[in-house]
Parts: sequence; structure tokens; C-alpha cells
Amino acid sequence: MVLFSSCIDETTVLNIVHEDGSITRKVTMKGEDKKIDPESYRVPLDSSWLITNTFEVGEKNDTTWILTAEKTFASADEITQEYLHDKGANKSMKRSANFDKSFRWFTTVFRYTETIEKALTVDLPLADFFTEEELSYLSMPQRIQEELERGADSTRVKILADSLDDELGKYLVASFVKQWMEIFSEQAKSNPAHPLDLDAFRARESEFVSDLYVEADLEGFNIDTFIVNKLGKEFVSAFGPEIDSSTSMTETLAESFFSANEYDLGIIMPGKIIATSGYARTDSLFDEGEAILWKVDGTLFLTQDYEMWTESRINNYWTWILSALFILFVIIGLTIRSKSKQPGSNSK
Amino acid sequence: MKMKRDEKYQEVLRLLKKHEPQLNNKKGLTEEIMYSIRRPGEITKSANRIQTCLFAWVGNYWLRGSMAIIAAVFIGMFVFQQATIAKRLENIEKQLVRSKNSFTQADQDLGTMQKAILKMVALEKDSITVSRSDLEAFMTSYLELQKSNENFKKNSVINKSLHKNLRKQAERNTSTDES
Repeated sequence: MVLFSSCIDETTVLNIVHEDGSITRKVTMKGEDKKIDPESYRVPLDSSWLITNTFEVGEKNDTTWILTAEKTFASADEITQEYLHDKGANKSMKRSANFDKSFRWFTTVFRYTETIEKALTVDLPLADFFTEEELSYLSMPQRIQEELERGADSTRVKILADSLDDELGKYLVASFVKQWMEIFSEQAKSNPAHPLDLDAFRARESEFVSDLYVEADLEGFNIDTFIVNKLGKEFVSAFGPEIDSSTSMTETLAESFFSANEYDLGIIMPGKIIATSGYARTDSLFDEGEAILWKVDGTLFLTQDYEMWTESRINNYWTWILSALFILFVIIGLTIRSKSKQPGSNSK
Repeated sequence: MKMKRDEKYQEVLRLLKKHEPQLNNKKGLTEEIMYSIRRPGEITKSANRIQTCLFAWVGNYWLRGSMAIIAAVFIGMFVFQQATIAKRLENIEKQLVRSKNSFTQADQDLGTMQKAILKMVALEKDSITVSRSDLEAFMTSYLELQKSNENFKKNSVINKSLHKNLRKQAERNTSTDES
């Protein structure tokens, strides 16, 4: 029996998008052990991929094993199909890929998108909790964060990272409370024996969030005790099944968040990049070319879809030449016309 | 008698002048004359015919207008596309620059100043003279950093373990349901 390791330190996925819509996908996984359990893969990989194993020895003589896998997909739909049949560590994530090509005469614009659907059903924008700078840092790949934390502005970056921790805690609590209350409200509506003032109940959301944020960190915290304390024993006994069901459903919905294993995603597009939602660097981290980078992390798709998109364009020079010839032809024609209209000409 | 002859001649001339000669194929005649008196190097007949064929549309008002509009549309479309792309490239450069400036090179001058100060203090002199305003600004920044550091130490336990606790609760409840 072969023993596999589930310890993967780092996973990087690079999508090289070609003009015809095909995508060459390269996955690099680094870990301490040579053999990695396929169930711990962060993205779908199987025997159809070209897989190679290498290693590198670090400064402290520690060995890092590197698994590199490569496969070319005919279209983004094939990547989506692979995601649908994923049996790896992130199988509960609902991921999809999409490629668009639009011919705009003088240019052709390409757009590649990978989307992760939100885990919860409630809408809670990250922008309500984080500043633009914090969001930018949050979605930055870890290696870039580490570089910044060692860079010239390290003190400022560390302060930013710490403020991020504060807001992250509040965001997580707010998300779960909101989701729980929404499910509970739906279920309590159909309990005619115990009518509930839903508006008054929902109005207590911010109170629940702030109290849970403080109490969850205390020693011996128990969620059931918390609910009893907040809602009262009578309420809990009246709506016991609904409370349990809501808690269970919230946990099920949040499964993809809790089980999410982080990885970095890079996209290289044909032509020149004109817009993106990712992190752009002037110096590329990849030999294949300049890539736009994202971090895939549970926090980023808890309450809103996480869309990683990039647009690029190439110039259609043959249309430029054709258009220039046509414009020149028209100008010449109009010039001839204006000359023939001058006095002394034979034209009618 | 001579007078009568002169009158007859005048009458004949008057009659001749009254009725102009009828020319056949005026256009062709014009072209022939123009061709005959053309300067050396002027376009040949066949070239003239090609030009006439290619630019026949010039004579038609609607065709002329349509072609001009199409050419203008091409130019407008090109300018609009290039302007849009230039704007998007500017935005993405700002995005890159902002990311860089926000985290790595927020104050390029400060980095240079720091190097200059180090050089003055560490390598050339035992002490330096600074202005009161610079010293006050430095002290203010230092106190702000110190306060942030204290807040960080105070909240680090609460915030970092919150996620862990929530996860533990979820696992505990899941295992309770399963049992």
C-alpha cells in the first residue's frame, strides 16, 4: 500500500490562454513528501495530465518536492467539466471557467474568467468591511504578501495585515449570523403555533453579531448556550427544530468555505492586457510570460461570487490596412470631384 | 453695281451666321481635341477610362455621401477604440502603480531620505542637526506606530482564535448531528 501525504505547502495554477480559446494549464504543487494524496489536490488532476516530479534543496538542506502537471484544454468548458467532477480537496467549491472572443474590426478582444460561486446565500459585500487597500491585500497571492512584509514598507504592511485580521473576524461573524437568521426566518414563518415578529427578530442582527464577536473568543464558549442566552428558553423550546435545522443548514452551506484549501491562480492572455480584477506586477513570476495573479481563499467567496477575470486585445492590422485604403480611395474620389467642379473644367 | 454685290455678300454672310453648323458627337470631339492638345506626360486615354470607371460614384450624390459617411465612421470607430483602450491601459497602470505605491514604494523620497540620513549618521559624522519640525513629525509617527503595535498585541489573541473557534463549533455540531 502506498502512503500518500496530504501536506501541500503551496499550489500554483497557471492558465495560458491562446487566441483560439484553448487553454494550457500548468499546476505546480510543493510539499515535503514525494507522493501527494490525490484527494488533497487543490485543483482537478488525473492521469490525463503530463505529470513530472522534481525536488529542490533549500538553504537549510531541507528538500521540497515539486509536482508539475500540464494539460491543454480545447476550451474553457472542458475546465468547467473537470471542476464539476473534481474529487480533490476543493470539490465543494462551485467553480467554472469561461472564454469570450469578440471581433471589433480594428481589434479582437479576449476575456477569460474563472468564477467561484458564493458559499452562503446571503449577500454581504466585502467592501462593507474592508477598505480598498485591505481588499487588494486580501486577494493578493501569499508569496506576494510575504514579499511585501519583507520589503521596504514592511511596517505599514504589517499594520494593514493586523487591521485586516480585526475586520475579518467581524465579517465572518456577520456572515454566519446573517445566513443563520435568514434560514431561521424562512423556517419560522411556517410555524403557525408560534407566530414570530420577523422584523423585530431581524432587527436584532447587529446585536447578535457584536455579542457573538466578543463571546466566541471566550473560554468555554458554546453556541447553544449563546442562543439560549440571547433568545430565551421559551423561544428556544418553541423553535427548537427550526434553530437546529438553521444551524445545520448554515454549516452545510459554509462547507466549501471551511474546507477551502488555498491556492494561487495565474492567467496569461494573448496580446496586451487592458483590464483585470487581479494583481498585476511589472516583473513576472513565471517564465512563460507576464501573468495576472489571484489568491483563491474561502473568505473571498463566502458571501459574494469571486470572479477572476482578465481582458486583453490584439490589433487586426489587416483591417487597419483595408480601412486606410478605403479612406484613401474616398478622399481621392472627393478630391477629383472638387477639382472637376473648379472653373474651366469640362465636367457638367 | 459694285454696291449691289457687296449687299448680296453681306446678306449671304448674315444668313450663314444665323444658322450655326450642327456638330455630331460633341463629347467625342471635345475628348479628341483635348487629347490632341494634351501636354506630354498627361494621362493616357486608357488611364482616363480606368479613373472614370473607378470614380464613377463621385458623380452620384447619394453614393458620394454614403462613401464619405462610411469613411468617417471608420475613422470615428478607430479613434474611439484606441481612446477606450488607452483609457483602460491607464486604469490598469494606475491599479499596478497603486498596488506598488500602497505597499512597496509609498514614499520613494522617504526611502532616499532614510539612506541619506544613515549615510550622514553612520558613515560620516557622530551626530547630525535636524530641524524641530522634522523631529516633531518623526516623534508623532513613532508614537502612532507604538499605539498600533499595542492594539495589535491586545487584539491578536481574540481575532486569530475567532476563526478557529467558529470552525471548532461547526465540527462539534456536525459530529453531534451525525451521532
